[in-house]
Amino acid sequence: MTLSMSAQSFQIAFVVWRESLEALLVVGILVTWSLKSAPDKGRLAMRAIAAGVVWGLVLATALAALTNYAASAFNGQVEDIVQMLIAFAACLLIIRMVFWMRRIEKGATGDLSAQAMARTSGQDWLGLVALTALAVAREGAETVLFLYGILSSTEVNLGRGVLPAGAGLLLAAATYWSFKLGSFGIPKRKFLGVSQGLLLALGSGLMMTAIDKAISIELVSPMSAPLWDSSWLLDDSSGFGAFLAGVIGYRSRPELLPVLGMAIYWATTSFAFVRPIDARLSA
Amino acid sequence: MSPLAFPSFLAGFVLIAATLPAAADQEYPTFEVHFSNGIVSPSVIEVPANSRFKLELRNEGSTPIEFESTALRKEKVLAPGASSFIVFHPLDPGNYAFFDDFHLDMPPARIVAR
Repeated sequence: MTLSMSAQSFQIAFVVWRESLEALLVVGILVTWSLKSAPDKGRLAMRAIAAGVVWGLVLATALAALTNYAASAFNGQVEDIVQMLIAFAACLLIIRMVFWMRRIEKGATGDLSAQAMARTSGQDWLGLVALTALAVAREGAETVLFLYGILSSTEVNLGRGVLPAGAGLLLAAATYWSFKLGSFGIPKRKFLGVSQGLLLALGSGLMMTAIDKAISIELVSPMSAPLWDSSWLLDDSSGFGAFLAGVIGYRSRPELLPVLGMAIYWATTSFAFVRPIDARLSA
Repeated sequence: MSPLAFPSFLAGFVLIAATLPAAADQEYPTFEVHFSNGIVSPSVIEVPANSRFKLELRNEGSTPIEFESTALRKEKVLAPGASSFIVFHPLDPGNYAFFDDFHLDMPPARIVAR
């Protein structure tokens, strides 16, 4: 009994940690990047991100309520549609954000730096607000539902639900802080590359979610039968494969549309890392 | 930044979602699935291939569950004691795995379309 109870507590803590991690990663990357790349605009960036977190929490609660009360009235369609729009918007914002980051970094060594920062307009800050909000809202909604579920449980008590859930939140916060502290030790150039890579990986998961929802509500066709089956290597329905499926959009039996979507996503984003022609000529 | 831009962005979302047509409330072949702290029963659900069907999900455990299937592109969170349903579009014959995303240590179950 005690064993199964502690296993359950671990389960609860793990779920809360996992669900909060993606949102915290996005927030952590944006905060650290802003402080490193634009120290003079740090205060503005922090305010934008904080606004995004607040909006995200509001939206997360609204989403959770929608899922809980309104969704069954429309065969669950509304929920899927809203999730699709959020995932797609967040994915576009990540692409835009990475291009923006690259633009500023490219200028950072030359006299372009001042120009790039001067061009950092209200739109870019709004992008920061919106991306933070959507990242918090998407993952936050599941956390809210999960916590609501624990609290509405018939056998709810401190040891069984609330404490492990709190531990999960603390763990997520600790992960966030270690990420932030760790980032001070990493050389700036490396940190920038890693954080953009992480953002792009999360964007790839968002892109896959948007495609999945679009297929699920029959907005688009998957275009083919599954092209291959890599579930013998890594199954997207259990353990680590399922975790990867959620975070970066891994699929073990993808059809043509998801494969095309991924190809277009990575082709587009790779342009952010191509060195401009004049830089290559002078090198 | 314009303080109104983000709220209007949100309002747009909700408007689009609200105006999209709801699927007609038809009678579909219906199958019940019970969840209890990660245990799914039945663990194999046979459904007709090439026709819409409905799964009635019931969470009888003491922790929340999330029905999730990457192959079928569906997910649904259920609080303890809650029940809900999902309508699936026609499937080709075959095996489709699903799992409880809040209990990933438990083995996946599957839907078999014949």
